[in-house]
Amino acid sequence: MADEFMKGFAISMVGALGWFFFAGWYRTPSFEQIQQLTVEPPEPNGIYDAVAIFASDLFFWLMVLGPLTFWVIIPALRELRRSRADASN
Amino acid sequence: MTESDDTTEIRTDGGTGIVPPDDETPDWTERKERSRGLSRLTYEYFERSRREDQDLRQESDYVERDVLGFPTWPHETIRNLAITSFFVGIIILVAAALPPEFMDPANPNSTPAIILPDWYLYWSFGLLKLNPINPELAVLGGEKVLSDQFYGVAAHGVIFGILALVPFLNKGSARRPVEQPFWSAVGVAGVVLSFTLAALAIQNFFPFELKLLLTLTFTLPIVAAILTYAVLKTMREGYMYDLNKRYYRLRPPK
Repeated sequence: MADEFMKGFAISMVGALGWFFFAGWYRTPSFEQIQQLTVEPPEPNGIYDAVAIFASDLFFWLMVLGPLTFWVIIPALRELRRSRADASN
Repeated sequence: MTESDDTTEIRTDGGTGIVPPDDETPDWTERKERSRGLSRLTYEYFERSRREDQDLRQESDYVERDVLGFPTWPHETIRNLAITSFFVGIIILVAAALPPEFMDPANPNSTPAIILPDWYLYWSFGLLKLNPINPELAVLGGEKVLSDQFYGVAAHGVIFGILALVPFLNKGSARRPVEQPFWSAVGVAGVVLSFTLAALAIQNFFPFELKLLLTLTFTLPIVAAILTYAVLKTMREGYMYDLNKRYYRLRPPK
């Protein structure tokens, strides 16, 4: 169980760092304003910009879904399987 | 020489039978902490298993060594260097990837529209913004007898007074929140209150009425406390069941 926690936590932190970088570059007009990291990105100038803007979304969802998978979904499935095995015995 | 002939044990206590306490001997506080409720039950389970392990160890002829820790050099030093390098690396990485902007130099002659302390003092700043709930003692001319600023400082007195009282009300004998649900709930309420007070300090950031924010500031901690109490109270039985299961799995009844 501790391993599952660490996996989710590590994925979340990697995702947070990546989201921070890419959203800091493309979704933050200024660090002096209230809305940061979530502002609508500008129209991409080239393939690199498009990839980076896509990566900011990717890392954001990695940060959210990674821990959700390892902390909620996998343990829930495990509990479900265990309760089924208990019920059939 | 009052020693009997059949015993070969060396007496070091002068024959009085009074032995000075060693590290294993529980002191008065520990005895008291373990004398009540669920913490006593927990203690008894683990103490019983510890005692059984000790007996097994004494029966065996395996020689144990006491390893209290690892040497500072090289083990601890290299580990600490690795951890330090990691965090320094993260700092350099972030500073290089997102270089801070250089703004105009601060103008000491003009006060900014929004002034705030550092984030860890937001709760304290929130206490200074309780104006709507301060009692209005007005005398001649409608001037307040006690100013809002005074009430703000007095609110700090209340908070610190409660903080100072807590160690006298609860000695902290519980090792897990589940052992004392009430005091865990009190702790959670305190943590949540510090967050809601911080939210009150930055009230401009919240897109709803100040009155609602002020209400939430004091109701959310109570709601959180009730939730914590209910959850922990419900968990108690499961906790005891787990303790029993673990004990009997390790040491099945003969």
